[in-house]
Amino acid sequence: MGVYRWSLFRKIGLAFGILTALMVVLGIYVVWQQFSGLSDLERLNAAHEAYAQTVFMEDAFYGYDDQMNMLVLAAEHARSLIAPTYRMAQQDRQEFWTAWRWLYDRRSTLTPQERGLLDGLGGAMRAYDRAEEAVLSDVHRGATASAFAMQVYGNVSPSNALMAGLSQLRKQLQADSQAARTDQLAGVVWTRDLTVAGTVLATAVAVLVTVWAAGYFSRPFLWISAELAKVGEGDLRAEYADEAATDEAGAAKQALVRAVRRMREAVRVVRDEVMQLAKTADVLGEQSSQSQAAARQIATAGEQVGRAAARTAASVQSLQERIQSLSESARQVSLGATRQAEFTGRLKEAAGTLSQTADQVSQGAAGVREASDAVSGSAQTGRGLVTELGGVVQSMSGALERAAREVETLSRTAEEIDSVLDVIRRVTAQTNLLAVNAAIEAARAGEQGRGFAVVASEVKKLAENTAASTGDIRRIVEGIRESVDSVVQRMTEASQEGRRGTEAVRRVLEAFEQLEKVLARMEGTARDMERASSALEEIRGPLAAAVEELSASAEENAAVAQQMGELADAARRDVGEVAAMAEETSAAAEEMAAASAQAGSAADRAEGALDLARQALQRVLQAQAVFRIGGEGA
Amino acid sequence: MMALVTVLGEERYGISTDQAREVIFYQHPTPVPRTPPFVRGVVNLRGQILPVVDMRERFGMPPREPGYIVVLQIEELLVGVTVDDVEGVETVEDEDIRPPSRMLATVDNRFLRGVVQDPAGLLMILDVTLGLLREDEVRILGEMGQEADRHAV
Repeated sequence: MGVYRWSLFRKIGLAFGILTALMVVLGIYVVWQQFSGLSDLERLNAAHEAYAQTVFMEDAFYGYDDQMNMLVLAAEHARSLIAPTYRMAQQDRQEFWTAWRWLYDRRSTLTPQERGLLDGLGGAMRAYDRAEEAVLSDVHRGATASAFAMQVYGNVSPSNALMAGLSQLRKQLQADSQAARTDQLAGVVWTRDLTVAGTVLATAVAVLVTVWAAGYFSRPFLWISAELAKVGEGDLRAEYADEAATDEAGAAKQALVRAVRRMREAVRVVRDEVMQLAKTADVLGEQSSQSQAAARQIATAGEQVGRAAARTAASVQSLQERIQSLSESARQVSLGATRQAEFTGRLKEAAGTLSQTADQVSQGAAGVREASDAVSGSAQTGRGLVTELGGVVQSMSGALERAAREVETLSRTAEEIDSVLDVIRRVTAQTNLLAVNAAIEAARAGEQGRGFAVVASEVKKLAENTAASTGDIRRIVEGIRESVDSVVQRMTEASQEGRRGTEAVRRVLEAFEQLEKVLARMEGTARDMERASSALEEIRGPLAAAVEELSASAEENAAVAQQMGELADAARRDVGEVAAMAEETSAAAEEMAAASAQAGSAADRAEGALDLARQALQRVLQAQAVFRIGGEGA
Repeated sequence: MMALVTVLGEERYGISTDQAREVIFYQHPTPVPRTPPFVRGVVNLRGQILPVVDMRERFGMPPREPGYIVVLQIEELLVGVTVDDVEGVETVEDEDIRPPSRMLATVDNRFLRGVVQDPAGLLMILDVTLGLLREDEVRILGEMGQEADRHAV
């Protein structure tokens, strides 16, 4: 394809280039307008910052003012708090002073305690003086601080003029910032309007250019598409005039014209060749049909022979199977007879065993009866003995309880001794106290009391000895009481044991009753067993005769089965020979059938191939018939 | 000197017979309103009102039912002090009394005159007028006695 001065793509590129340039110019203008509003924004920020600083300064001034006020108030408050306390302290001191003077005037006649009080009052007054000095200095310090605060506050007051100036400045700055904000808002609105108008205009121009360009560029392709549709339907009859191409669309048109001409030539050649081929195929078809018929006849004859041979073989096989099953039956019969004989033998043995068992049962039953009689006698004796034991245990228990009561009396006596001891102990303690008091009196009497002191110490020793003896007696009585307690406990335990013994005796008696009942039942069972064994004895004779008969019939069965087996073996040998012959015939018939089948299938394949060729020719004819090339009928 | 040997807890205390007048069994004192906390109450001693001071409380020992009351004479005043037990009267030579060691007694050293070693162990000699009862307490007890006497009349 050649290179064109005004190529299709160059034209498209030029159109869209102009459009893009237009948009870029418009965009730059809009952005420029947007940024021109920035200077206004900077002015706004500066004004705002200045405003914030004035506000901060004003706050600081007000805070300072408040602190000063609080300082002055605190000083006043402190003074008012201290004043009443101070007054009260002074009154107190006055009272002390009066008291001290009163005492001091009478100092020559004072008791030691009053003298102490005088000293104490002096000390208290000195303390009051010290406290007063401290309070006064605190009050003085408070007043000084307050005065200083007032002074500072006075110095600060002139700054009110500065505050007024600040307020004025703040108002001006607020106005400035408001103006700057209004200006910026106007700029933003104008920029927005411009952007909207420019966008609408640019979109309209772009739509118009696109519609015109679409019409201009699509015209040659629409013509090519219509012509190609005709070719698709097989219409190759159109004649075109040759013209020089100016761009890619013109070149495509010329290529289409050349393609249509070439296709017309090709269709004409194909049509002639196919006609010739169809004639040749018809001749070949006839020859192939003849050879196929011959092969089919041979194959039919072979198949008939084969079927006959197969039928023979099947018959022989079924015969063999029947003989096999006959032989199997004979063996089964023989096996059955043998088993029957075995069973009969076992039956005989069982009958013998049964008879022996019956004898043993009879003997056993008699033994059981004797044993139960003996046990019953022993049980009677045992019961008598246990009843006697129960009586003994009960009387022992009663004796124990009586003994326990007597021991308890002993314990009470020990307690009485204890109470007597308590009295002795009290008397001893009083004697001891008396001795101590006597010793004190003797000591106070000095030399005259010496003899009395000796007597008092002897009395005290006596009391101490008595106390020691009382302690010993008390310990002994305590020991007796512990022993008594333990004896009482043991007796109680023994008494409980006795009750448990009585209970055990009662249970043993119950057990004896149970035993007697069981023995009675055992005797009944033994009698039943004896009756059963005598019934068994009666049927023993008839059972033996029946078993003998069964044994004889089993032996006969076995002999018949033997004969049957031999006959079946002979028949099997004869049939085997017939089967061999039938197999040979069958093999020959199969070979023949295979040969004829081969011939038939070769002819079939040839016929098939010819058919395929004919079908192919038919399809070619149908295909080329689509093309209409003009100037001919077929 | 002669000393009455008393027992408080694990320790033995000697009181001079110049000050100890008598020993009686402990009887529960009748509480008297508006008395200082160291006074347990009063008991009747042969028709005479006797204020009773709890020695365990005084010495900061755990409380326990006392066994005896020792009747003390301080100048004109009779005061009872509670003790656990009384051993008797024994002779103590003044030269055997040694100054008290800080480690020895549960009792505040203020109340002690000294310590003696006798066959039964350590004996701490109490000085009643020195510190067992302070001067002001003695005065209060005296007033109490007078008042009780007035009421009795």
